[in-house]
Amino acid sequence: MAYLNWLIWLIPLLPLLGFLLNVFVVRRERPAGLLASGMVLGAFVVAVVAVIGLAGLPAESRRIMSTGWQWISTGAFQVPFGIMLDPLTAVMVLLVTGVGALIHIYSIGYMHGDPRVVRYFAYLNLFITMMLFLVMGNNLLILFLGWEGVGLCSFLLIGYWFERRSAAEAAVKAFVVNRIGDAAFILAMLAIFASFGTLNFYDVEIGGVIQPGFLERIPEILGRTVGPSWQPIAVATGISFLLLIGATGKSAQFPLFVWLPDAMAGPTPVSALIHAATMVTAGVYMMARTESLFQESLATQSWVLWIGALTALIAGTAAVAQWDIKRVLAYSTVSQLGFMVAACGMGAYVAAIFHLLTHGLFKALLFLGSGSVIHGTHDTQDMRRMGGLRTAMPTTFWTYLVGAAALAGIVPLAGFWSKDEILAHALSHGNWPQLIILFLTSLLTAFYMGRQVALVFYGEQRDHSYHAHESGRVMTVPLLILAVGAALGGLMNLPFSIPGGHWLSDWLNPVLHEEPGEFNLALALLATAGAVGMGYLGWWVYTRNAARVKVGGKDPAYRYTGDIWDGMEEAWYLDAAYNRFVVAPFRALGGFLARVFDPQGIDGLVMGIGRFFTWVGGGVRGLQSGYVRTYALVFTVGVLLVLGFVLIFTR
Amino acid sequence: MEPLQIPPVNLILLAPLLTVVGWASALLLVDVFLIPEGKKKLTGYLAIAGLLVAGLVGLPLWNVSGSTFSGMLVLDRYSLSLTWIFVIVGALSIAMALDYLPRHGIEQGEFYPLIMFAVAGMILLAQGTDLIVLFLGIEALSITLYILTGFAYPRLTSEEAAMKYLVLGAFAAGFFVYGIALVYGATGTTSLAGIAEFLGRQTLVAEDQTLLLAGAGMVLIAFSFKTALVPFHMWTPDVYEGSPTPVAAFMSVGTKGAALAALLRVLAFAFEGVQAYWLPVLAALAAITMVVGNLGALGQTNVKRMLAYSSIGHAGYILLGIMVASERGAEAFLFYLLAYALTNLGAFGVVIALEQQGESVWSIEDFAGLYQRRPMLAVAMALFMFSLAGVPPTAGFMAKFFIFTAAYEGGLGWLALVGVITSAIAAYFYLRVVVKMFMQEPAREVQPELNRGLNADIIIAGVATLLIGLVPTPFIFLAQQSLVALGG
Repeated sequence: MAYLNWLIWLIPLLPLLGFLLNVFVVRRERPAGLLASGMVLGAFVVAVVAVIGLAGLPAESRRIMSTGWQWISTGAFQVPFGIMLDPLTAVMVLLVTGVGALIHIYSIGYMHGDPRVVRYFAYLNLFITMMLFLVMGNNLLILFLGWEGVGLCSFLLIGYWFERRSAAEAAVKAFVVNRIGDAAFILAMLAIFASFGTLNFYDVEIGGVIQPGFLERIPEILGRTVGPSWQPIAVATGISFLLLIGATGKSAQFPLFVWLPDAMAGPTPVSALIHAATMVTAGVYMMARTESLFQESLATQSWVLWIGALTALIAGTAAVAQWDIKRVLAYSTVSQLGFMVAACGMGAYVAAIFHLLTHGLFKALLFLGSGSVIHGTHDTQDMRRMGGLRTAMPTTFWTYLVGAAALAGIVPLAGFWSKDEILAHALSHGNWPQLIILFLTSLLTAFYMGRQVALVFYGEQRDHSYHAHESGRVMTVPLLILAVGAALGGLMNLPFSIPGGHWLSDWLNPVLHEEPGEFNLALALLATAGAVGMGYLGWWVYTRNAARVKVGGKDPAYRYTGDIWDGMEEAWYLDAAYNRFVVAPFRALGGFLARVFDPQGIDGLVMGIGRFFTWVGGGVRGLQSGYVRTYALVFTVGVLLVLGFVLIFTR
Repeated sequence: MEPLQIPPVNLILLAPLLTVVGWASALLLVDVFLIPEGKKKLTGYLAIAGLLVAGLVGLPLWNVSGSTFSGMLVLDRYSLSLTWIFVIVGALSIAMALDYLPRHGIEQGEFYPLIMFAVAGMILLAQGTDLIVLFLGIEALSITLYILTGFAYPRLTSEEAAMKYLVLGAFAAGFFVYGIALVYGATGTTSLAGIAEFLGRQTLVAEDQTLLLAGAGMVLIAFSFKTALVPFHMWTPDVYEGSPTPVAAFMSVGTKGAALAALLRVLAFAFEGVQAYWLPVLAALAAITMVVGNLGALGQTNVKRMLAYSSIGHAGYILLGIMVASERGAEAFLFYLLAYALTNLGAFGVVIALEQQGESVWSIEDFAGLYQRRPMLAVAMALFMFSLAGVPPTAGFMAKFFIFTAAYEGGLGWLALVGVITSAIAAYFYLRVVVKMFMQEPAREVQPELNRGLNADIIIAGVATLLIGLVPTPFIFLAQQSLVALGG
């Protein structure tokens, strides 16, 4: 299959070409949209061809490595600029390009008439390129290139409507929070290189020389370490914990999820693509990729499990109490990512990837549906101003219903199968506390989706300041396609031993080495009953009490829950806590340093020191400029410290 | 009476240095007598040509090595590579100045030879293997820079900056001389090899050790001033802000690079034996330099001041490479220097393009909406900012990655940690410029002026920034080769 070696390069390079053309050549809206969509669609077609080629190979040799050039080559430090295609990458690539292409097409309708739309499509294409490098890179450095790249595009796109103050602020917030995760990621790379001597995932053969990869040699390398017996475990724990911090940033997990709800200030197709279906799953992908490293550390694994489960619950409760149609979906995304992370923590990586894929389909559908609603109601996002939209927007309504049911986990839609696999795995491995938390969260999920459907589509329209209309075909066709995907996505990995059953498990087996999960009928029945019941309850409560929902008013449930509701609405005040305990002190420190070290604002402390030394030195006063005097004094302080250290403390 | 012995002198080893000095001296006369007022640009082109010729003269010397003037000057690949970097820095700085000077009404022909003399001082620093020669190099560099800093003399800030720089520079020079004297008192020599030999030969008695350490400490302080390490950095923002922008660009990469290159030689050869004493000092300096440089840049709204603080922070990162007394460290140091020099020259080039005639305001607001008006310029600036912030696939990322790995492997893990965290913070203020360019409407009408010299600078810097990031291997190879047979 030699052709695959060059073919897979087309997958990231086509969107890159689209980006370059849109930045430097194209100046008008229509060609920009068509070019961008065409390039991503082209990448999708190439990806399909390549994956079919990959499937034609025997299972154990399904790993195509292709090196463009030797990126870094200095002594023992060898990193190729190389990409790969293996079963795990294949499903990610299909998701990114497939959903990506639909969202590009949808954007042509959604962004029509926007003054900077060429730039929008350029950013979107760059995002796809970077996401593809992220999932296709055959070493950590390329993964990191994509990791930073998607972060950057996310930043640019959140702040795309920069006239809105909230958008610009949300963009900066996302970037800063992500930097915390990125810093941890860089440290993890340094530690991996120092411990394993390579950043390649797998062995790469370049010019007849094999450059070793670390993923398949971890037990071997760790076993070879000389030193105390706890050392290998400490190394694995340290590295995997740093990677976990990186994942909590990008995949919006506790305690770093605060940026994702604010990121909804970006255009809705961006929320669908970047902040639901693809970029935020990067952390889950990365953990699945480096699974053999995580498996070495029980300590990190339990952290992963708890962080995932708690994030799922916290974000699930927050989603119940939101009024903004997109913020409900944002918290829901955080919550579902928590499911995936928890699955990783249990060692159920296939289930995590399965949920990642189905979630990508139905959450993209829901976001695009909400975009259609926002579009059709002339930029209304507050659900209190909606109501009864099902008659005005039938296609949007029906597709949204499919997505909501899939997310809630109603049999036989996609979300049911993938969520059930995670729950079943928790049950069969005895992770009881997490099973209970995740089960409760899945009940909440059904409830808030029922609430949302009722508030948006049922009852009477509560605000008549706009005339609701259905969106055009360029937007509804992607909705229909995604609805089919959300309905049938579960077929990927049916938990039965029938032809076509366990397909995803079998496909990913060469990478993740995992046996297919067991199906637990009792749990499935319980979960389905719970989902249907809670979904109905949510719908019933908010259609019965529709009259009590007022524009700008409180939720009907507020009467019964009071402060708890406020807590849920604010996601348990995590944001406020950050502002109080991190942002404010940091600002204060920055201000302090600026005053001390920036000459423009010299006062207080430095002048105090200055006077002290002037008094001590006496003669320094002769210099003309007060500033120069201050500089010379700080200089003198430095001299005293340096010489004092050298002469006294090192004795 | 014994006849005075004149040591044998091999001028071939100084060919690039002599070319620069000779050319510059000739150019001064040519400029005065042959080039008419209003055509001073020609002097600039001739100066660029002279620097390039000096670079070419160096080419056949790649496989030559040796020392001359009684071992006070050395030619090795390390000094030759640095010479090339300095020549490029000088040429690009002149290219930036070609239209800057007339636009701001300060065109004087001697500007260009002065830059050449400064480059000569830098080459001297790269080739010097004796503390006296290093002092000469530093002074030759500094004196020309005092003049260049005050070159925009109609502007008060420029004169003020020159004055401040001169006063503090003299202060630092005093430390240098006194330090050399103390070192001489302890070891009886000022040659780097001699000091190393002395330290290796015998254990010091207490008084001598005090002398030596105090001397070494003072030499270190003088270098810290030149490289603007915290707390010897206070002059930097004022001087960068006040001096003509091409001079600020030149100083931010050239002076810093030359002083650091000499510091590497001094520490790695002369004072290797007392590493236990200077390492903690340097580590502490590096740490606070990284922290203060990057935090100081956070609040700046003046782009030149922001870049000044950024250059302080970068000196901290470069210091990591010097401290790791391994080949990996020195390699990372050279690579970082190259990557940083080209990136920063590009960034200053864009600042010059936006600098309006007769103004001394470099507000970050002037970048607002640049993408709408000049997409290419905005994309180039974004590239430089990402490189300074260390975002892949730019040169700056590779450089940071190399230097942090070298530090981590060299047992300075905590400094690598400080470096990673501060560069995470740094991304914020670099990104602010990008935000302004891409995410805001223009605040006021700013007409970017691009001409041939500036264009060349930005294009060369932009291509190099991307190229070094994407294909760093040849540059790493060059850095490795430069360290072959590195001697004191």
